[in-house]
Amino acid sequence: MEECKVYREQLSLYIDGMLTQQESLVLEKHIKECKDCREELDLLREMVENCQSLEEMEPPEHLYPMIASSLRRSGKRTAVNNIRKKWLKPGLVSVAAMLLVAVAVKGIMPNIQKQLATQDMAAPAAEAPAADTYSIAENREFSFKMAEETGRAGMAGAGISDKDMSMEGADMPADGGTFSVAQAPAGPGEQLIAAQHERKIIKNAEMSIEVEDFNRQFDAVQRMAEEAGGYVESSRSYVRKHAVAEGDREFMEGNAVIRIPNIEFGGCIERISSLGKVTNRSTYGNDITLQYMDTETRLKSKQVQQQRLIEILSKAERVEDILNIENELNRVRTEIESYGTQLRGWDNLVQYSTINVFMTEVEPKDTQVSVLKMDNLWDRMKRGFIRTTNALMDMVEVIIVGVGYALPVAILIGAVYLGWLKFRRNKTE
Amino acid sequence: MSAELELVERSKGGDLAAFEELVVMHQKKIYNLGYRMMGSEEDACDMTQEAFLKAFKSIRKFNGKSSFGTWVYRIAVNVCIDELRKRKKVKLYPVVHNDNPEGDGSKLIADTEDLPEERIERQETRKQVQRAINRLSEEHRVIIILRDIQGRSYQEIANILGLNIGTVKSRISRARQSLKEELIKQGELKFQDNVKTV
Repeated sequence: MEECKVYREQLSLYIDGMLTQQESLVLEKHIKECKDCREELDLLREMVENCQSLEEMEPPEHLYPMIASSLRRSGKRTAVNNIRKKWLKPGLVSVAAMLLVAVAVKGIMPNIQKQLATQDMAAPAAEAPAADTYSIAENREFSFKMAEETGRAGMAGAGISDKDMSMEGADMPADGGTFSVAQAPAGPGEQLIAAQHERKIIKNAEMSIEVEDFNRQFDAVQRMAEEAGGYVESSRSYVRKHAVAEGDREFMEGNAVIRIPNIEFGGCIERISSLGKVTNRSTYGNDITLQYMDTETRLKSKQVQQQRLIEILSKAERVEDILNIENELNRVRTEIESYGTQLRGWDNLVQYSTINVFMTEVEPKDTQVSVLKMDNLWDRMKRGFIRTTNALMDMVEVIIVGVGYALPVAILIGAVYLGWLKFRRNKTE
Repeated sequence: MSAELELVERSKGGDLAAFEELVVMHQKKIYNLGYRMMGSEEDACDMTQEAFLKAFKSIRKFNGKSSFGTWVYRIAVNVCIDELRKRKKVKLYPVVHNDNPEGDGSKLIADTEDLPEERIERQETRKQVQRAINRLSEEHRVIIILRDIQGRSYQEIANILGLNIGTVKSRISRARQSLKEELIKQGELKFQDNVKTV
C-alpha cells in the first residue's frame, strides 16, 4: 500500500489532466492493477462531477442596484479623496518648500527685508535732522575717551586720589558716571596736597527722557536752569515722524544743554527726572584739581617775582637797568594775567555743571482717560485706510517676489517628490 | 479585452458609469463565488457589493498585469475570507443551510429532462456537497470553488490567489481529500463500503 500513497496524491492531478504523459501512463498502469486506487479515482471523479453540477446561479435582481448605489455613495467621497491624494501632499510639500526657501532667502539676504523696511522709514529719517544722533555718537566717544584716560591714570599709580574721588563722587546721582583725571603726573606728595585742597571737579550729566507733553516739559527744563541761577547754553526742538503703529499724532523731540551752579547739580537732575520717564542717565566729572593747583602755584610765584621786580625797580638808578626791569615786569604781568584768566575759566566750569537733556515725546498711556478726538476724524480714517492698503500691497509684493525666489527650489523639490512617489508606486506594484 | 481595459482606464479617471459596466460584466462570477463561500444569498450580495466597492476605491492600484476579472476576483476572495474569519471570532458561524443550499432551486432544474426521482436524488447530492464545502477551511473552500465548481485552470487559480502553480497543485489535491472526508462523515458518499477499506 506504500506505493499507492504516491499514486493517490497524483489522482487529483490526473483527473484534471495535469500530469505529464509519462506520469499518466505509469498511473494508468497502476490503476488497472490496484482496485483500491481505481475506486478512489472513481470516488474523486464523482465528487468533482457533483461539484461541477453545482451550477452557476443568477444573482438576485436587487444585487446590481445595491452595488451601484453604494458605489455612487462612495464615488463622491472617492473623487474628493483622489483629488486630495493627488494634490494635497505635493501641494503641502511645495508650500513647505517655499516657506523654507523664503526663510533661507531672508536669512542669506537680509537686504530685502531692510529695503522694504527703509522704504517706510526713509522719509521721516530724512526729515529729522541727523544731528542728534551724531551728537550722541560724539558724546559716547567722548566719554569713552575719558574712561580710557581714567584707566591709564589709575594704572599710573594714583590710587589714593582715585579712591578719594570716587568717594566724593558718591553723593552725585551717578549712573555709570566716570571720573577722569585728565593729566595725572601724580607724585604721592602732590596727591596729599591735592587731597587737602578743595576739589576742582567739572560735573557733566547726560539724560534721555520720554515725556507726554513735550512743549510744557521742554520749557520747564529751560526755566529750571534759569531759576537755579544758571542758563541755557543751547536748545533745539523738532518734529519727529512716527511709524504707522503709533498713530497719526505728530511727536516732538528736542535737545537742551543747560548750565547750572554746581550746588544745584544733584537737585536739578532729580527735578528733570521727575518730568517723565528717564531712559538714559549718565554723569561724569572732570577733576582739574591738580592743574588748578599748578597754575595757582605758578601764579603765586609770578606774583612774588613781580613783587621782587618792583622792589628792584625802586632801587635801580641806571636808565638801561630800569628799562630792562620794566620789560621783565611786563612779561611777568602778562603771565600773571593769563594764569588768572585760566583760573577764572576753571572756576566758572567748576561752579557751573553741564546737563545735556534729550527729550522725546511719546503717546500718553495709562496716565489719563483718552477722549475721542473729533477733529479731522474723517481725514485720519482716510489716511489710516490708505496706509493699511499700502502695507497690504507691500505684503502682496513681498509674497509674489518671495514665490519667485522659492519657485526654482520648489519645482526641484516637487520633481524629486513626484519621482519618489512614482518609484514607490512601481515598487508596490 | 481592450474594451474592458478602456473601461478600467475610464474608471481610474473616476468615471463611475464605466466602472458600473465592469460590475455588470463581472458581478455574476463574483456573486457565485460569494454564494459558495458564504453559503447564503444575502451574504453573497453583501460580499459582492463589498468587493466591488473595494475594487473601485483601489482601481488606481490595478496595473493591468492580470485581467481585471482576476484582479476583482482576488479582492472578492480576500473579502470573503476576511469576513469568514471575523465570524469565526465572534462565533456567528456556522452558516449551514439545510433548507435550500442552492438558493432558488427551480432555476437549476428548468432544462433537465431527468426523471423526477433522479432529479430529487441529484438535488439531494448537490445539497450535501454544498454542506460539505461549507465545512471546509477557508483555504480549501476557495480552492474547491475555483477549481471544481467554477472549473478554472490551475494557472488562473494561481493568479487569483497569488500562489505559484506547485502550491496550487498540492492545495487542490489536499482540498479534495478533505472534501471527500467531509462527505464520508456525512455518510453521503455512494461508495461508503469501498471507502472504508482505503
